[in-house]
Amino acid sequence: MGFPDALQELLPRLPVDVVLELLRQEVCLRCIFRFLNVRDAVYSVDLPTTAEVYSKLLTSRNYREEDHKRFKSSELDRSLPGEATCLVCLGVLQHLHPAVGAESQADGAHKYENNAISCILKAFRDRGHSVEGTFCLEVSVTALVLLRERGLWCFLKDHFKEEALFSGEDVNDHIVSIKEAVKWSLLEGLENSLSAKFDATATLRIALVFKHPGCPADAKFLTAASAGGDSKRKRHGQQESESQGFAAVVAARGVSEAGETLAAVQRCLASMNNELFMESYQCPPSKVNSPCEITAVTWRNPVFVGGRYLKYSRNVSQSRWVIEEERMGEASVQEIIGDVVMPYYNADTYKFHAAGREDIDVRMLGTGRPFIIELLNARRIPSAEEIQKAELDINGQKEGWVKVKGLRRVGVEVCSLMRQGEIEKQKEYVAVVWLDRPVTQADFERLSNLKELEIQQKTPVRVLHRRSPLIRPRTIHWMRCEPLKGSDNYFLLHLCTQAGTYIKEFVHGDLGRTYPNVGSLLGCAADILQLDVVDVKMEFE
Amino acid sequence: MKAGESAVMGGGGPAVNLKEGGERKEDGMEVELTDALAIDSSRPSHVPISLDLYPAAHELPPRPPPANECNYTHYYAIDVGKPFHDQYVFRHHNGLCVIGLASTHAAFMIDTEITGVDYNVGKTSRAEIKAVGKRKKNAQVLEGNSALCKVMAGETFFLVRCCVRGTLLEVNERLIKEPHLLVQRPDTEGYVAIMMPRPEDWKKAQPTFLTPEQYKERRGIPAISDKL
Repeated sequence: MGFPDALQELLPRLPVDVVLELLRQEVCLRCIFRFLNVRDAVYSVDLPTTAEVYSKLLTSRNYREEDHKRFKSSELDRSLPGEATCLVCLGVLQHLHPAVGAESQADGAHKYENNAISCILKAFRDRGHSVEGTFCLEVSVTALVLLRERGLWCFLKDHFKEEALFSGEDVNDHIVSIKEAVKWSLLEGLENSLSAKFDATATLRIALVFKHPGCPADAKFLTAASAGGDSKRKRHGQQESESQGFAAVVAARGVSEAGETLAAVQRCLASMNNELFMESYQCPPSKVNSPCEITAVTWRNPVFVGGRYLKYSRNVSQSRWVIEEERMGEASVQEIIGDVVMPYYNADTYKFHAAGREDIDVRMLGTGRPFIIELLNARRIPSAEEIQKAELDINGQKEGWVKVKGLRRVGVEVCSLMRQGEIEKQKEYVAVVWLDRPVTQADFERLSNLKELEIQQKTPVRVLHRRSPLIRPRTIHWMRCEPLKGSDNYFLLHLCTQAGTYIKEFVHGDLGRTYPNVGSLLGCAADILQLDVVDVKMEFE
Repeated sequence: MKAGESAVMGGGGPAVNLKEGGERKEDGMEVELTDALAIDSSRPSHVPISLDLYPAAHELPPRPPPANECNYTHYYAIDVGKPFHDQYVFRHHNGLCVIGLASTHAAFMIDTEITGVDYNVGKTSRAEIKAVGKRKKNAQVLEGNSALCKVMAGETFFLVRCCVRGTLLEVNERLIKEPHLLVQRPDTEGYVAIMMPRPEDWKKAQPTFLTPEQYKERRGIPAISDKL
């Protein structure tokens, strides 16, 4: 294999004796770059074998004649088996790309089948996610690599005392981290394979997990180290790993027992200085026989569609409502919309969020109520046209209980908007109100003259069993009355209220527990026949 | 705006044009829905609602099912502790019980007017200990025969009891200042307390109560009478 230009340029700049020593120790080229703090495009280059680099260096003019004599060619052959597993990264940086060319397939097809890109492509095939433009890669690497980095660092410090590169104490401050190296090495090839760009904020997530069965020397060290930490610490460590994102969670699921979590090893390594570490761990680290196992999992973070819904039925609840296996109402807004939308995304499931809710027997008319559907682990993202079609599907249902408008993709930020809409935004209603005496013009004037009326609302009896007993002050912003032609005791009450006002209770008084109420304001008994929400005063278009 | 709209519609806020379209045709609703859906990006300042969505006068029931009847099952306990100490237990569908005085209670039968309601029975006042939070912390659990309050009528008083074992969620503090509510609106604003019995306690207590029909029969109230 020829030498890529990037490597040709880089090699003369590296301390050649260090590179040769590392090659002899069976450290892979990318790890050598890492330890020499190389930070450029050379990671992504298709690199020659270590043997080729070794002989190239030996024959290069930079290499002094006397040094050359120190190594017999026989020794060289023995110490360079070609593609031995790197004793630092445990193969993580060696098996990222599919083997190219006939010769590498011939000698290592079985070995390199397990490469990162092939694993990722297989994960896409197995899990069925389609790629739309962007993706994010989360890398999780066995904690053994941290241990081995430290081991090699201590060895290099000891072996090359004059080398300024290794004068630092903390290995983590002076080498390129393995995750960074994986991303630099992999992203270009991955972007080409997926025809998509890397974007840290993409909803499509790829978790790439490198696990290693470990070797006896490491296991001994880790067992001793984890014995030092108490159980409380270990629990803490697990929680940490769960908050570290999707890749860490995937990794934690399969991680071995012996306190091998990343956080535990990190803590343990941080707790000892280099001298102490070298006493308890073999430096440089022992050679390993097998590379890391690669697992790739694809996943999509929640994506959202939103719009406004109208509900024309008094027997359809907002969310699925089941009491003792008996369904309440004929259907739910959540299901009517969600069951149509979800197949367009081929998601695992969905969640319904709306700017507040109405009772099952209350219709949602007028402008409609803003809502969003959160789709979990969507396999695909429908086009704007498909979402339009989903809207038509919903609106074309023969029952006509629920309609939607303005259905479209929305961002994650609308979640807080929904909560805001629920607790802050004004709502407008129309109630059919009955009085126990004929309605008069004076009644209408009395109510419509009240502006910004503050009422005290005790938690209604109907929800008192599950909500906190409180007195909530609420504002009725305005009221407007309209006669119902031909009826003496009924009228239409239009009212606009603060979010969270219980309207039915404001009309009938709820045993006087909402005060003042329509009855107390008009000096009679009032009751409510039916109620509709006609506006949720929130911008959501 | 079309004719026929009442003058009182001039109130604050965006006007809701109920008479949109005017005519009351069969497919009026359909027309409205299509219209509503056609407005998408800019929120309409007028909210079109067809009057067809509201009942016409002849479709209205004489009165709506009263809130305190359709949401509650009514039960009566008579001679609670003493003869003619008749109480009601209105059980909401969610299991909460509103306790109050039935119209045949002895307190309503004597000549002396009711002068006050005193929740200061038991070790501490029933009105003082308040249930807190969803889980109703601090709430007192009372037995069926525990006293809820004393209804004072001059020199005499009547003990009102829980009737069912349960958690006392709330007493009607308005009665302390407005005891007349007990007489004027005994089954709404004149309620005495709200209890939350456990399901098993309710199952035990329920057979001891009378249905409204049984109660009326026992007290000789004519069945046609709507008003208690």
